[in-house]
Amino acid sequence: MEYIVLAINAILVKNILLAQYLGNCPFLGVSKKMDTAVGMGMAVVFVMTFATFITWFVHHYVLVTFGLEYLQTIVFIFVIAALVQLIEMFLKKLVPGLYKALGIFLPLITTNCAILGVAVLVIRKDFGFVESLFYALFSGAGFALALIIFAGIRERFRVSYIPKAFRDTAIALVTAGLIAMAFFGFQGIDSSLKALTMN
Amino acid sequence: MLIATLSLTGLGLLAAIMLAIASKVFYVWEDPRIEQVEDALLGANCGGCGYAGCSAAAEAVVFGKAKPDVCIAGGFDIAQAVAAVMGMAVAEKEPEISQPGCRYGVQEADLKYSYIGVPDCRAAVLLYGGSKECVIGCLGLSTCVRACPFDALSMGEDNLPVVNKDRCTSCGVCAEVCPKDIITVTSAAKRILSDYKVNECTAPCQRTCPAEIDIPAYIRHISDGDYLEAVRVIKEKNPFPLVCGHLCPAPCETECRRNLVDEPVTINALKKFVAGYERETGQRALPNYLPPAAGKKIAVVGGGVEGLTASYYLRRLGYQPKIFEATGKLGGILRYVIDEERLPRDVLDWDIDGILEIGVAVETGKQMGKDFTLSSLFGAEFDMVLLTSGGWDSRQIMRGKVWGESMIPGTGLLLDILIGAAHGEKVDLAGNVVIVGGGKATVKAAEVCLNSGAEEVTIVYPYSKEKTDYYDIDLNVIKRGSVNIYYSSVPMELRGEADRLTGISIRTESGEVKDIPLDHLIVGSGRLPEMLIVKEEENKWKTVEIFKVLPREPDMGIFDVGEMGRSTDQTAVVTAVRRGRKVVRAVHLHVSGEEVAPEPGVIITAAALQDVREIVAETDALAYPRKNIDNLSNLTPEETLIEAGRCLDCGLICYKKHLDLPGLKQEKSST
Repeated sequence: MEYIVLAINAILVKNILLAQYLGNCPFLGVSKKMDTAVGMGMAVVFVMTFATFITWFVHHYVLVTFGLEYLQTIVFIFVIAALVQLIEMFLKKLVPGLYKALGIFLPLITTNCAILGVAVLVIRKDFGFVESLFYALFSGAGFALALIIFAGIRERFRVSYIPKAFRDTAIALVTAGLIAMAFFGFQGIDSSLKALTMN
Repeated sequence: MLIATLSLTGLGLLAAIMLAIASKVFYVWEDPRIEQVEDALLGANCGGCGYAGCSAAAEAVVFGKAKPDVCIAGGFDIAQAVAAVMGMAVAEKEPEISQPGCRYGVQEADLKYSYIGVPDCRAAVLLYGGSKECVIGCLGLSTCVRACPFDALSMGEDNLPVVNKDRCTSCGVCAEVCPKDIITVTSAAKRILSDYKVNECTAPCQRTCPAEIDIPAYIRHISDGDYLEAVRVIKEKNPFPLVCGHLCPAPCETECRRNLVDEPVTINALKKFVAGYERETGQRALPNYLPPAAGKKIAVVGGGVEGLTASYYLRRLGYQPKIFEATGKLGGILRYVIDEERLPRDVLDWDIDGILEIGVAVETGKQMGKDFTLSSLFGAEFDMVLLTSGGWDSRQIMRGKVWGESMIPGTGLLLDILIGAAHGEKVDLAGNVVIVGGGKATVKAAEVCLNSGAEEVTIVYPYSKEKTDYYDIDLNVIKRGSVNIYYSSVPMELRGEADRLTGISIRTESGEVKDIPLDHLIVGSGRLPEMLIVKEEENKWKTVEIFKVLPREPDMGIFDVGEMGRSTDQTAVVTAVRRGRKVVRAVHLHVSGEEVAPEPGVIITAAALQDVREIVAETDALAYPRKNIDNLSNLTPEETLIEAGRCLDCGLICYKKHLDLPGLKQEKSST
């Protein structure tokens, strides 16, 4: 039950892109085509989960032990960057199929704020290890969902008449805002979700 | 402070060591050439090559799945750069270019409805195939213009795409996005090799022309005063413009759409005028692009219209043809049979010189079977031999005994056997004899063969047994134990060794292919069909089936359509020209390793196409009657402009509804 609530929360209510406004760069950058959006979405799910996995340990067993919480940001960035490099090499050698699908997206999101954001958030919210992992996984899923919805809409822009001044980024930002407003509707179920977890 | 520095350094060190180890453990060797090839490519990621972007194409090249000239957009320079990385050579290819195939925009064409909706052709086509009456018309919604990765396309005022030739890289993206296949990537070589298809905009005259000349295009060039370009358009399909100007029966004029209102345009006279202009001014209309002669060496046996046409187009595709002619001069029937008054020989010489000028080698006075043979040709480094010698009609030129000096070893015409027998000539037909053909003459010939020493006679009969009964032919009369008959069977391949015929493959009624060893082949038609003979291994050769007839007709193997010799019977010079070009297509397909088969969607009968029954046009458009002219007289330059102006510039169903005829306005204002 708890995890279902966590999932709904991470995917819909507190969507990392549309409610927390993290990771807007890939949101606008790779949403022009559906297939790249899907690739990016999957890569984010993958990296986000792994990054949270490693940073949780780093935080609890290195930073806390030595009383270095104030170095959290710089250490996390560093650890995530090293991790993604490692994953990339690992996939290239052992899972070439997955590497082909995610390859070019992995380095792109190494230092993305959504990844770092989730890693930091789970610490701030004081989640346990399993909870953190699930939260990261669902946040990634939320990211992928938003990106795919957005790409689906943007693909249709190609055949619609858009006034010159609004073309490309302008209309993309307007659309992103409208989708975010639509997702804002999920805030309404936030309180009832809280009530659910209370019981 | 110290702890912070130390622990961060420790973490850094740890990560560094892990990455260093990982880079060794998980090391994947990548061909460095992939990157080099990718650098050499254009980097536009247009996808014109069929691979997902330039890096995928580079990988395909390095792994040998693609050739160095994979990048269509990059052209010859980039192909050379890629080939340099790969240590390979690349042949220069004719540059290709996008060409929109629709000439009447939405405001001029007949419409079914007016379209207001998503401004994209792919959306518009979903509604009854688009707003135009014409099923293959351009919808003019700029889908191709937006798709072009090189900004080479723009939309003209007439709502038709315009190609900027300097920017077009022939990547083919426009052709791919066009839902109506209107914009295509083409080149002279592609046009030489192709037939008109049902999804192409063609005028009635153009479809009717046996040589398939793009008649509206050359008449447009005449109207523009660009006579040499008009000749160039004609020569893409017919290397004999001046000869045809003198001799052509002009079936195009019978089909001219102006017949619906008054009289046809004098199409052939226009051709004669521009071809005459070429000759008088001495400016030869050479091809815009001629590839270097680096292709296979092909011996073309027979220097008549068909052999000359085939050589001309072989050379234009980069092959190295050489014509072998038995008589002293080229031209065949045109030189030795046609009346001089109809075709002055200097006219013929002019067109033949035009063919030889682009690099066709000739050897005259050499007869195959006597002065040289198949094995001597293959020994002289020729890769293949193309027979375009005709048959019975070349007796009019040769006036000699042909049996025994036949071009294909051991092969003769049934007519020669029967005439020889009637004159009491003795021929030696010892061994196995195969007779291809039907009718009573076949029965007679089989008897002659048995009397001339044949041990076994096999008749390959293209018709069914029932048809035999129908014609009241009793083949059993000659069934003397040594005569085999295969009904509904066609020859597929001839094989030989050095200068001896050794075998024939036939496809029998049940569809299986049967090999029959033989020493003599007797062909029951008036002509030997065109044949392509290729060298197999040392000393061995075989024929390649070069005609695959259209789906409506049964496939009759190397002897083409059912009535053997019918389609190779050249009733007019223009049909021989057509045949010469088709032979080249077959040669090219065979050399490229593709199956020789008709292209999908080729027009079989014009009845299946959209057409118009009446002409609705402003009266101006129908001014001026046809100039009364025949093949012997000439148009003056003024008359030429007027005649060209009479052309309605037809498409599939579109035509010009108002014309700007020279002098029309002045005349009108004066009255």
